[in-house]
Amino acid sequence: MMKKMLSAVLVLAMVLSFAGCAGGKKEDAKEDQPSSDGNYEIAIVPKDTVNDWFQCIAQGGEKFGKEKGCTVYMKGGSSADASLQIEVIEDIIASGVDAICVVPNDIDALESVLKKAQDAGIVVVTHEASTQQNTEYDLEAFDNAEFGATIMDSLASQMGEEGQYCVMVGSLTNGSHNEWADGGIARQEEAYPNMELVGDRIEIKDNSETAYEKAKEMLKTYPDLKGFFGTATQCVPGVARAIEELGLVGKVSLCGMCMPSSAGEYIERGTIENIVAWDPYEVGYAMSSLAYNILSGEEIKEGIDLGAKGYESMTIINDKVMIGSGFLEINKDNLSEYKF
Amino acid sequence: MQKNNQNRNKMLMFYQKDKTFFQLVIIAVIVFAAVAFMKPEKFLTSENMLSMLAQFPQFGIMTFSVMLAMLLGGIDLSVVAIANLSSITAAFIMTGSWGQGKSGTVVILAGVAAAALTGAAAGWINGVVVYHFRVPAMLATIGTAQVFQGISIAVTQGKAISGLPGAYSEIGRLDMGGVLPIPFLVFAICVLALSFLLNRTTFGSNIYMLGTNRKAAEYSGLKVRAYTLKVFILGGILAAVGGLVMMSRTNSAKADYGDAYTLQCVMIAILGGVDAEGGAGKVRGVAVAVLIVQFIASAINMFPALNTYTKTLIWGLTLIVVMIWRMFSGASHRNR
Repeated sequence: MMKKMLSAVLVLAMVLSFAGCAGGKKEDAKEDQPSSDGNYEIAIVPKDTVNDWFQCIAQGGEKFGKEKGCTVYMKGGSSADASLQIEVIEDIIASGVDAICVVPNDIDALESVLKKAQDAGIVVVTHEASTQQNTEYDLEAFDNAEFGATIMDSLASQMGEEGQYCVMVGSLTNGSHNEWADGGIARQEEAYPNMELVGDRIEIKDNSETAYEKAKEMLKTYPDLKGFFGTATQCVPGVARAIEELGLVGKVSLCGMCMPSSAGEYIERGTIENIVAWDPYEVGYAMSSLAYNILSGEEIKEGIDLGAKGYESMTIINDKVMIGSGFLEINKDNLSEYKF
Repeated sequence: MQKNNQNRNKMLMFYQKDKTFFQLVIIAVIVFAAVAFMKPEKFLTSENMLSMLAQFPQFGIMTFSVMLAMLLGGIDLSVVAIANLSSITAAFIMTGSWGQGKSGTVVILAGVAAAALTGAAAGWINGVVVYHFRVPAMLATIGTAQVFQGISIAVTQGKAISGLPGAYSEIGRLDMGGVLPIPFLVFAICVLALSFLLNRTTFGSNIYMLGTNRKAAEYSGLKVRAYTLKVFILGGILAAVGGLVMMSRTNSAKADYGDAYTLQCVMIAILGGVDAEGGAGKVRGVAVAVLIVQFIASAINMFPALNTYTKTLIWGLTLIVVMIWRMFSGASHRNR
């Protein structure tokens, strides 16, 4: 009886003393904040740390940090889970960084923790989250509708501007994939009347195996299918493999967003002509640079130069979304230039 | 002098009586002191303490759910799925047309009640599959986890449900007078209630008996079926509470929040001294294990040079060190 009570008291005392002993430190922590010498601490929080894409973003950020003499580093969860991401952001807020650059797993889920960050005086910058409320600016590599239209232009020219095509997305709930698809379909309807969209948007669950199987199914269901419009980065390798296996190289075209590292072999073999993308190094650099500019009190205005390729002259929409020209078309000729 | 000796003997007896718990407390203190020593300016701030107190309740409460199943010699790998299904139910009620024109408190209470019912129902299903169909708990709950998550995905189309009443998300952010975050308060209530239930009631001691020796419990007239169902139902309700806390912090409900918690909860339960074979493990041990895990997780985020894998690595090492220590100190009951 006594033992149990004592142990309960012990646990409680321990917990309370943590909260208590910390009270006095509060002022000190606040004094650390101003650091107006430009030696800021900027944390990048990716969807997860396993994906190569985010490693590249981190490297871009670190490069910026070295150039400006400030600390830029990545902290993230081990899987793309909104709850884990919130935990990481909580810890980072508590550790008193100056700015947080986030690529959200889930825009809604992050609103309240990002508000907490802003309330604590931390600068928040997001990427691929054009509807995020609690952020200083959301940085976009390009206008999503235009990006989709460009994919369509490339696909149309490969298809000779005629024939059936279908659209693949990572998931029906993915914001940017569906915005690209909307933009692409709108372009086709307005500029390529001889092309025809068949089937619903195909969900590939961000999985290239699924993309491969769905592509085979589509080619069976629609024997005249001539083109694939890809959005998720897994579309291209999956569909390209199906095209090769069915001996349809040159007969069926494919264009979509992808990373050179996973689409490179298909471009070299000539299965596909090109892919479109944006460079994660530059994103990491540009996000850090934007956060740095806000911290050092620079005026953020239309046309601001973030010092990264494709982010030299930014367009600002609704005071919140910042759009660059980070669009890349990658084909046989420039494939070796990109290392992501 | 004599008095001193007496005190020492008392202390020693105290330690001998529940070695597992005291070893955990010692480890918690060591971890805390080590991090506090290395990063005092970041770790020893009230912001960090409050932030940690607000973070662990969600997976801490889910761990108790896993612990209950483990006390019977089983396991529950469906806690996170139950948590999400329950919070989605609550979110539907809180955001639906039913609540229009009703007071915020009524809507929130209705949502919480619905979540608890959902959790209880899901727990009951687990219990039925485990007891009546004799499916090993691990397989049974992997199966039901898929079913529960499947239902969640189907009803939400995989999207997050947001737009909860403002008062509800305040719960996840508010501190009681700047000292205790509400999620922590919920956690503390769960700890006290569950400690009482397991340590002070016949129901509790029967659970330990059932977990230690099912045959003996059966022969002594214990209603095994009723106990299995009740334990899983209670576990389901705890999972729902964990889900509600998680929902207050994400300000939304979704089918796949906290996926990574499943194995983390099992690990914490084992670290906390719960025997995977059943029949042993105390709430207070698990509570301290939750703290240890949170200290490590937060500490890692304060060292820019350490990446996320280090966290998993350190957790794993801590678990192994504790196991070995337990074996040598005779705290492991397997050794008894």
